[in-house]
Amino acid sequence: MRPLAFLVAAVALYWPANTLPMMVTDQFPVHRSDTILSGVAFLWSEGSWLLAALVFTASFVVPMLKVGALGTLLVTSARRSAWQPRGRTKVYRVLEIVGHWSMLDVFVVALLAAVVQLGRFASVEPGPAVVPFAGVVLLTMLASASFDPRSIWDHLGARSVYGRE
Amino acid sequence: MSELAICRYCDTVHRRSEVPRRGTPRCVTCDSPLYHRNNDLGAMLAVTLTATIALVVANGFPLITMSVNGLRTEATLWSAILASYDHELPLVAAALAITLIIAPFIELFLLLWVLVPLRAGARPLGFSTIMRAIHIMRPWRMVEVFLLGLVVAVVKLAGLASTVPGWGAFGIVVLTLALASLASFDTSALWRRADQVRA
Repeated sequence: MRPLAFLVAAVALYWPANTLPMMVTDQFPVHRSDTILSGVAFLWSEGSWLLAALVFTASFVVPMLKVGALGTLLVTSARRSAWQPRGRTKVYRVLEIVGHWSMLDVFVVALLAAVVQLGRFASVEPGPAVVPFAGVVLLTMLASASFDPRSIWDHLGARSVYGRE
Repeated sequence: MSELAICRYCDTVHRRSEVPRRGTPRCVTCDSPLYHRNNDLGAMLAVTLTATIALVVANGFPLITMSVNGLRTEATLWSAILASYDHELPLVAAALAITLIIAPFIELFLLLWVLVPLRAGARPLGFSTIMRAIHIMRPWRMVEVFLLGLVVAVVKLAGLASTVPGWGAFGIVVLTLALASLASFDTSALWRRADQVRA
């Protein structure tokens, strides 16, 4: 039940994390307030395509896939499914590897806020989305850390694994 | 126990002597990687020391230096954490401190704690507890993600001002490489060595 609890908490924070501003930039006379996605769009419009793709993947695609994949793993394990146990184990291993990369944007905002303090000329402030966003990342990490991959295999007999007893 | 390898994903027990000698050792049941072949504790100690020095450098020197119209500002690891704290984001400051400073420091310290006595032929104090602690700390250090964040921040700032990565950034690069190299060692070699030492 514990992974499910973490996952539900992560999903609850998902909405504020993606709709509130992540970073507030003042570069006189321009004032910008960016959510995750508008930040990506801004990078794209400035011509930093590689960077935009990177941030989009780490901050948007990965958390969404993580929630979907964890949900699928939890449901199939709870239903004692015999569907693709090897594939599901592989999905879990990928989750373990990519899990923490979503912290990327939090680090970028913290760094920019620390370095860009030029008084009236320019300043960067972390927006209210930073906390729920970091929350989504950490809660999904806790969810996958508390999921036991053995639960994929526990109820499968030797027959279903090797095709023989 | 040294002859056996247990898959940590599905609990299938393997005899190491029956695992194919070529390629990554994989579980016969679930196809997950079983263990790494690199079990040279001396090399592991050397890499751990490198990582520790790199972590000190990453903590002590500026990561980015920026100058506009004669104004110079620097960001260190600590000032990034303090900036989050000053913006009334204590949770973010805590997350940064844990993932970038506390978790790597604890992990490296504990690794040195077990590696140095094992190399000298003694069983480290509290060995099994420390091995478990190392295992628990691992997912929470995010130095490599921070490195990518550093790159993104420098590129973003390039349009605004002249930005130069500092020695702290060099420390982060070396630390990332050293930690990646540490991940390629077989931690069960530590257990086997500890058993030999006790015997």
